[in-house]
Amino acid sequence: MRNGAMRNGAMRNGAMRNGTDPLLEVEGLTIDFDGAVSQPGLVQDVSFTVSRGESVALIGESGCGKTMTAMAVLGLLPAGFRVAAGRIALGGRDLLTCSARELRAIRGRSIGAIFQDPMSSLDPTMRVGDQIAEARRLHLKERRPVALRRARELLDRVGIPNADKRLASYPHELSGGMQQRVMIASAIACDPELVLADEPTTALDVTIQAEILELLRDLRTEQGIAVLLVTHDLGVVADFCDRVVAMYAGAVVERAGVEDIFGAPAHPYTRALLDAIPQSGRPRTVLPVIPGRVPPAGSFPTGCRFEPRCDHGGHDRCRAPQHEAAVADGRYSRCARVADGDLVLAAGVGAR
Amino acid sequence: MKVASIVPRLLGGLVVLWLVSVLTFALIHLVPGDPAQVFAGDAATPERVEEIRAQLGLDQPLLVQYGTWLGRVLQGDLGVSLFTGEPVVDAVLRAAPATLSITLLALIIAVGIGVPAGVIAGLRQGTWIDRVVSMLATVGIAMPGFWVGMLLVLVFALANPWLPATGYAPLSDGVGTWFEHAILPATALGLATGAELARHARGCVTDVLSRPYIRTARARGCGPFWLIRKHVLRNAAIPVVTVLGLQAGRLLGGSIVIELVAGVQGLGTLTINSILQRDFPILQGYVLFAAAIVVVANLTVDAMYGWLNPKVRTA
Amino acid sequence: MTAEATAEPVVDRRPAPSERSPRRKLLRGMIRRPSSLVAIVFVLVLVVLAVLAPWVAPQDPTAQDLAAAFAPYSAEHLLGTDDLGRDVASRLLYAIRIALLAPLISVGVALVLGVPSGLWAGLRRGYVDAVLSRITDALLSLPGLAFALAIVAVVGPGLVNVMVALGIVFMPSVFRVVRGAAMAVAQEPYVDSARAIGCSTHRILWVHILPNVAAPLLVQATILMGVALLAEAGLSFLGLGVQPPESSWGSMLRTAYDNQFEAPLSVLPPGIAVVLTVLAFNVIGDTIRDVMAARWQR
Repeated sequence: MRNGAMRNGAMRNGAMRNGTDPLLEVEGLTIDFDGAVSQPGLVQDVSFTVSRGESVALIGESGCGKTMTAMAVLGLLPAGFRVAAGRIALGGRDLLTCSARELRAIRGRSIGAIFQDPMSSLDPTMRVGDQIAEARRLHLKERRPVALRRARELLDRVGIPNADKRLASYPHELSGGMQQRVMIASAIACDPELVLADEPTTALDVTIQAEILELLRDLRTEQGIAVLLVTHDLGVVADFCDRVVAMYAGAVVERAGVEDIFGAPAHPYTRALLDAIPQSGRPRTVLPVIPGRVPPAGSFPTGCRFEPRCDHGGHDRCRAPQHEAAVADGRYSRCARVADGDLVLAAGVGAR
Repeated sequence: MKVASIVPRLLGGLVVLWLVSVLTFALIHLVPGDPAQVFAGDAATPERVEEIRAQLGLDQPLLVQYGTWLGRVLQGDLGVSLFTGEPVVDAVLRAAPATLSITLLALIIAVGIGVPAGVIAGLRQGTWIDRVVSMLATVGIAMPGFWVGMLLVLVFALANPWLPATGYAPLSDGVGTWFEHAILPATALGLATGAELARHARGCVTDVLSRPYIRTARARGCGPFWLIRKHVLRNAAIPVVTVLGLQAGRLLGGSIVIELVAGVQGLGTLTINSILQRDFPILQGYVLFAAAIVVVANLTVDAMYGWLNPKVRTA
Repeated sequence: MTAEATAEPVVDRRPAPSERSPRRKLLRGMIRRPSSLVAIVFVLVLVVLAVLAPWVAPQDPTAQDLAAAFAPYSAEHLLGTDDLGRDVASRLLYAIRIALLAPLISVGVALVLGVPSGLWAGLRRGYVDAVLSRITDALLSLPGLAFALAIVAVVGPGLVNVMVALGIVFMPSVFRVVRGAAMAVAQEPYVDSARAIGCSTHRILWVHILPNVAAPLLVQATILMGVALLAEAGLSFLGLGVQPPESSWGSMLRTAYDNQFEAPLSVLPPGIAVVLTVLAFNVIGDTIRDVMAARWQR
């Protein structure tokens, strides 16, 4: 499926980022499902990079393959799913050729992970302190008392008061916000270079969301940890991220800097996502909704995958397979009409 | 577990025992016709019938009868056998060691084989090991324990003189002798429970493996061994333990038939004889005793559950 | 991903699942699985054999021939003869009737007692629920077989007595399933809306509650069929169930046990018959549950 244009794009992407230091490189990632029904191309030809200290958002509706992509980076695809093509490299090291043992040495050590719904993502039978200390015991071979001492510091670091007492708590004794702080503490326990945050604030109250994002931001600026944020919440993205990778139906539809994408999206899907953000200060009109839903894997259209739901569809060029093309410096769109200058999308958040 | 959480459980157990005592007491009065006549048998003289009526206090109002009966029961007096005149408590206590030791051995066999087999099947979901364990468990549940006992006796005692075919040797005869006699009935008895536990353990492990916290642990770099020991087993143990309480009743019930096959003079044999001879005091003694055992087993399970599950422990 | 879906404003609701009747779907799901297909066919064959026993059986199952006692397997006696020279194959065949009817009695009694009480407790809650639940808890903590024996002691031995007693023993498990399902359904919004638009309690019960209780109840009833057959075998083995000259697989096992030195292999045919039948019930029950679970997921 990879053609010249895309290869070209990937290469220029690398060249463009000179001066920055690529940490995570994902190139042409394609994920197949080999189960009862074989579904090739669940995730198709996904490319992006995360530089050291940078924060990149992976956005899209559910079922777009964002989480699948993140899981592939961790080497934790669910049973039946398999990387069929592409390359994932961390600090120049190809993760797809790593053995299971080598991958384990990277998970929790070089890549920390934070998941949605901290309540169910923390082991209910294990004390909070032990869950934070676990990575240090596994990777740094620290003895339990030593690791727990470090876990205490980490609890302080993520802003949990009364750390001494909390170390011995079980997850159910903490509030949702506190639980997510514990998750963050355990993700950064070994000072990773990259933190993968999969919808870290979705299950939390709005006020807590802001606190958690604030904490993640502090960790970035103070410790220089790069963050790959998987989210459907564009509000979070605007606040927190340097660059945005938008996915639809298993493919990247647009890549751009955060200001660029909010200023002038280069793909109808991104445009539609922006329109769906509730705006404060505007009269409460009916929130625009993207009609239809993400097609289930296996029944993707052969042409543009978004075309059936697109306001600007129906064009001849929409029926051909779409390729990622540069539309400006460091910006890529998978819309042939936008790339050709045939379609100009409205600029600005909330514009329609 | 805190004292505060034990008290309601103990009270619950007492309520169950009290309800059982009502049921047990009601047994006699549910018998169609005149209970005294029923006990005495059709051939009894009217004098004998009256004697029994007085002996059992059947001429008193029901509530008074229950009060007197319960008062005696609480003092450990369950009356005497209508046939041998032996105190019920003595008869039950004489028969109990055989039944309880075989049941306990059956439980050990069931847990010792069923749980590990189920855990391995759950961990290796979809492999041939999983399929073999699941199939054996499904068949194991469908087999009558007493039939398995007959087959075991056939193979290990009749066809090959490896083990005694029938009888029971108390522990005081030496552990080896006891084991030789107890192993066949215990295996037959424990089979269904083991199969049930294997299925349950497999389901629990499969369920735990699909939980998000397992993904978190793996994202932290846990290897398979560490993952199983620190996360999977601890979480899967909680639901597995809860079904152990139900199995206590099942094992006690199953032992009734298996004792006949194995020629063990235990509680089961005592009970069957009491039913066939309509020896109600003995039957009452058995039902109360069995209920007490099950209540104690459930309390033990509750305690283990609380110990394993932090949500209960610290609540 | 569910939490994500609910939080997103842009996702449309999935279209309603296909409107095929759930009963047809269940049947299809069951026939598609080889193990349950075999189990269903097995039970159907048993039913046919039970009905046709007088025409299918090679011999009169009660005809004694003491001279031919303990005859080995042969063309004349496919599975040999028992201690009284009766043809084992014919007795096995006739006993299918009891193997199917006896569990039906128990399960029927359990349903009659458990379904109304479970519905009442689950829908009305309150003190009725509290009392019934306490009582069933107490019944559940009795060893089931001991409890059944106690009842048999009161009403006397005999197949029907034993099976009714077992039905009473099974009642708590039916009660629990129905109560749980009824409670769950009663909390569904559509029951509230049905009430709001003025449906009678009666109609709500029949149209909304019962169909949703039916699925878990069907699973429970199928599993109980197997348990009942096992218990019947045990109790008839003890001589408390079926009374001679009638015979069930359990009482045939007793005959085999009493003569295990003369004809050790005679424990096999009735035992295998019990195992296969219970296995078939359990496989059917498991499959219904699996198919239902798969349906509920999507």
